[in-house]
Amino acid sequence: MKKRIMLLIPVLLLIAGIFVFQKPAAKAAQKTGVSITSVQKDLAVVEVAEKDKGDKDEDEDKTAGYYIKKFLIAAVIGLIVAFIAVGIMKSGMKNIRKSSNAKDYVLKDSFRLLASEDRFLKEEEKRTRKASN
Amino acid sequence: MDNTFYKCPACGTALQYGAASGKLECAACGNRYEVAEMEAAAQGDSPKSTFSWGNYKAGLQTNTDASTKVYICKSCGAEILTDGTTAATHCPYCDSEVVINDAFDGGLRPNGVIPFKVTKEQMKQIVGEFGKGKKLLPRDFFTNKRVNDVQGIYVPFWLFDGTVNGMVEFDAKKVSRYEEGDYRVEETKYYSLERGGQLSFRNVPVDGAEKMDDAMMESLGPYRFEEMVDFQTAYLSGFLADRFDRDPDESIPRAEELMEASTVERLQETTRDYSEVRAAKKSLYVSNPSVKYVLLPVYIINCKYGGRDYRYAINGQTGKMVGELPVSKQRKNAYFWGIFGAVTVILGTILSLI
Repeated sequence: MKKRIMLLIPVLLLIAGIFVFQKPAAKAAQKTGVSITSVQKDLAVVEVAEKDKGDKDEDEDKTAGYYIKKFLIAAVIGLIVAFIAVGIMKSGMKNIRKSSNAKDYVLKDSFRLLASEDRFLKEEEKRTRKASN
Repeated sequence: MDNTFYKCPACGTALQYGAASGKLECAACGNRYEVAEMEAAAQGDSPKSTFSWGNYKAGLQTNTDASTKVYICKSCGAEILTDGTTAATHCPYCDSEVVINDAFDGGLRPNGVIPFKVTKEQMKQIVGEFGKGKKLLPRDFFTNKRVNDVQGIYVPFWLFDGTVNGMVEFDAKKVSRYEEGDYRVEETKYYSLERGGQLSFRNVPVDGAEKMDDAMMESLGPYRFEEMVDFQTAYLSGFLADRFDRDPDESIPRAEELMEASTVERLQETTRDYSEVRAAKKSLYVSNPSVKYVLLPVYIINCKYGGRDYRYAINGQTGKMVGELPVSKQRKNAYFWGIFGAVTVILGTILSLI
């Protein structure tokens, strides 16, 4: 039960994030008359944000939505950081590893290179036109 | 007429039969090979490694010391040896009761032993250090009782000596990038690199106890084999010794795998001018092989936590401890949500102020 609740928290955060991010996008799209398909919604946020750069959205600047958005970004980053940190802690709990070679048991100065031959087989060339400005 | 001739796997020179040695000899590098070995290699479709360890069993002797006591674990069947002065009561593997086996069979006499250097007092310190800084470890996991009950055991190992000779063929590339007029050019040259050589190994250990986790035993190394001494039953006083239940024949593939990997790596180091170097064909042989049966000192700690068994091993010579520690769910959750909360609040505040 406890586990389920804990799994539910990131999911709820994600849903809340989508909800908060969608609203200003739809709002801004209405202003500019741009119709948005569900696939284009995220793209629209960027486009609209660029178009409206000059006249900053007053209500987005001051409203609770603005702060929720910022805190949701922080929460997502927090989740990632917590996953990585706990993962590192967990990996430090085990130090059993199979050997991959016998380098600890090599007799000192025993290596002798007796034959060395390099044979050229073929050549491949890839040409790509530089992008013009 | 069959004009078959054999090339030296180490340097590629044609081999000649030496009447005195009865082997195929290389005039260039001086290596000698068994005729049967070379024939077997020549019959294969593609070159591959064939190691021959000769009659290594001739160097192993039977243990006839009747003062050795042999115990049998009722539960896991482990056969435990000790000297006449030490009484074994519990199995170091499964902690079950052990009984003395009157029908004495000392098995093989070890060729050598590394005596215990780490004392029980030092071991407690090592265990304490092992748990230090492990934030997810349940508190009081290593109780004093658990550490006090630890039994030192000599684990049977097979030690392999030998010189690996041979040839390895690598596939390699050289990539260069440059600009030419309106074009970016990527030029890839493909090569086949042949490297022949030899590398000698001494005391490559492979554990001979079936009940011991192989990865755990390999993690305990390296041992300082220069401190190895001739086996005397007196070294078992106060300690137990497991008897090997894995024949050296079963351990040879692992020793070969490790020696081969090191030889290929060493030869590959001579191809540093190239990129994406990959061993394509290997033709390796072992010369001057020998196998020894030795006992190496290990402390074993068995613990139970959350319904799961945990086993730890400490190298009785160097004090290196290995094992997997349990993760406390409460501590893991506390750290996870603590870090999540802290990052969210701090980062959220900073972002809101920007």
